[in-house]
Amino acid sequence: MNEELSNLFNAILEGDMPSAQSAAQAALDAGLDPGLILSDGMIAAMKEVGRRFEDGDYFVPEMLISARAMQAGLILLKPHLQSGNVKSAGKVAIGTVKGDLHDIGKNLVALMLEGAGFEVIDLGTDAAPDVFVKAAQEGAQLIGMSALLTTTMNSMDMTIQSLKNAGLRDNVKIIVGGAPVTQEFAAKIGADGFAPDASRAVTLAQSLLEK
Amino acid sequence: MSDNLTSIERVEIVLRGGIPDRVPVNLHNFMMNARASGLSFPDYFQNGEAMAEGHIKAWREFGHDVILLENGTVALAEACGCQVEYLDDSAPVHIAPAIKSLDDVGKLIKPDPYKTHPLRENLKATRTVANEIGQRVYVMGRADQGPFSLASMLIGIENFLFAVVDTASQNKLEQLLDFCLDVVYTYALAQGEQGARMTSIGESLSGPDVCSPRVYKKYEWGYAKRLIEQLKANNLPLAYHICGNATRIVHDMTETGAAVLELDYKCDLPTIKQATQGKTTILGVIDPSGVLALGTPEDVRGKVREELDVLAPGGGLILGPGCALPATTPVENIHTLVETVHHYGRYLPDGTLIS
Repeated sequence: MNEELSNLFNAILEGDMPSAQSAAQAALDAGLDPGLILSDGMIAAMKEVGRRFEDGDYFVPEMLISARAMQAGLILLKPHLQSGNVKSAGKVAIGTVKGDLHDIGKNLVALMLEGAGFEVIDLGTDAAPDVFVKAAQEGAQLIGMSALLTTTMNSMDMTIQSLKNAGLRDNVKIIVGGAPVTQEFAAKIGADGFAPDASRAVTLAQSLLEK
Repeated sequence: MSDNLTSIERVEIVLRGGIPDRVPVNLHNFMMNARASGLSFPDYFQNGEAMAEGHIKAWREFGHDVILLENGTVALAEACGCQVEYLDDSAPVHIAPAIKSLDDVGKLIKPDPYKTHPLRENLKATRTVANEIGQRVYVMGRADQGPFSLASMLIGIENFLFAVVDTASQNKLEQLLDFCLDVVYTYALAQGEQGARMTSIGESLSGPDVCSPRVYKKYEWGYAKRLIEQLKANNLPLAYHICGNATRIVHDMTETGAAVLELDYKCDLPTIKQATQGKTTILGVIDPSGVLALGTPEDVRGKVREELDVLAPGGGLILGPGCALPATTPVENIHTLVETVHHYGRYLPDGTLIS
């Protein structure tokens, strides 16, 4: 890897936002292809962050600062990324379901998905079934739902029913997560997948959209 | 099945490291009580008399040994100026921080627990329960969130998590944690004054499901230890709760000197038993959602027996849910939990269970 990309990769891995910004700028100034900066500098770094999280070396704060550093670099890069020369990994709409106001887990999944090259539409917290339906109508290929409360888990079920009623269920893949959510619950409500953490949510999203 | 000891005697023997007649039972049932009260959740959780009545009624129904009094996880945050929302069907939640950055720590005002809403309502509940049934059941207060988790709400959780891995923030972060320690300590003492025999704190954000053991040791462990020592000097023991899988830090948690570790079902049972044996008491660790709220009585019976087999021998266990019971937990499952402990949690004098 050349020096600019290596600096960018390391700055994101360390969660060093100012260094990530200057490394991204240096890579652009050196005339590197923006698509390459994104894939080999940023997405590769976030993939390594995810690997370290799964291995128990990184925790939520480390992931958050890495994602923040990546986003700071991405802001500089975006004007140079022309549509067509960078292939999106897919369009994802993600939200915390109705009745639930917790957003840290959902935000982390959104950041990690963005870091993996997905186009992410953040539906926020307390998102009613209609909000997810609208996102599916607008072309989201994958719906991500989060719940931290046992009392709001049923909103996931209701949202899937709403997508069915709108005739959109077969157009989208659905993944669910959050502290009380389990693989069994995901299967019971007819979701396509469950992930126990943000890193594995990315792997799950990738595998579902490849199919 | 007759019991030989009162609930208070039973719990105190366990806390001293002895072997009682059977394993004591704790319920973390404040949301179930809210649902059973007939009041709206927001009204219930802001009314000390209603909360006391709910706990007393539940105790008369289930006969558990320990009552854990709280109204959720945001009472101190609200008292310190955070915006919270009282939900219709669950415990209140944190909406917005009290301060925008660590530069504003000096603007925080320490609440007087006897004068500040909703702390005074929780204290009223403690006083009423202690007066009415406190000679027959072991009353445990909740000094809400510990310094680490309270600090995260005062400044906003994401801001806080950025700060714990930013060395430049260390001094200001410690200033915030010192403030929070003082707030928690004062509220904990008030609970003792109102008749709680023990108090407790939740510090789930500092656990390995969110933060590294290094961050735990740097910003949580020392504060928890100081709090425990200060309360011990006032003869008030503390139960120390961390949700999720705390197996990696259970040795450190034990070393804080906490009288009780309130642990969650995700922990590795043999490891936590070994780490705590002879040093502290485990409170938990039945899964409140998957088993008690969503499982069948048969599931409950099976899980209780499984946990008794690993955690009960030699004492050092108060059995119950490792975190809050959802409001919708079936009453039948709680009866099954209590009955199963009464039946299968009986000790021989050598600390083994009567099979």
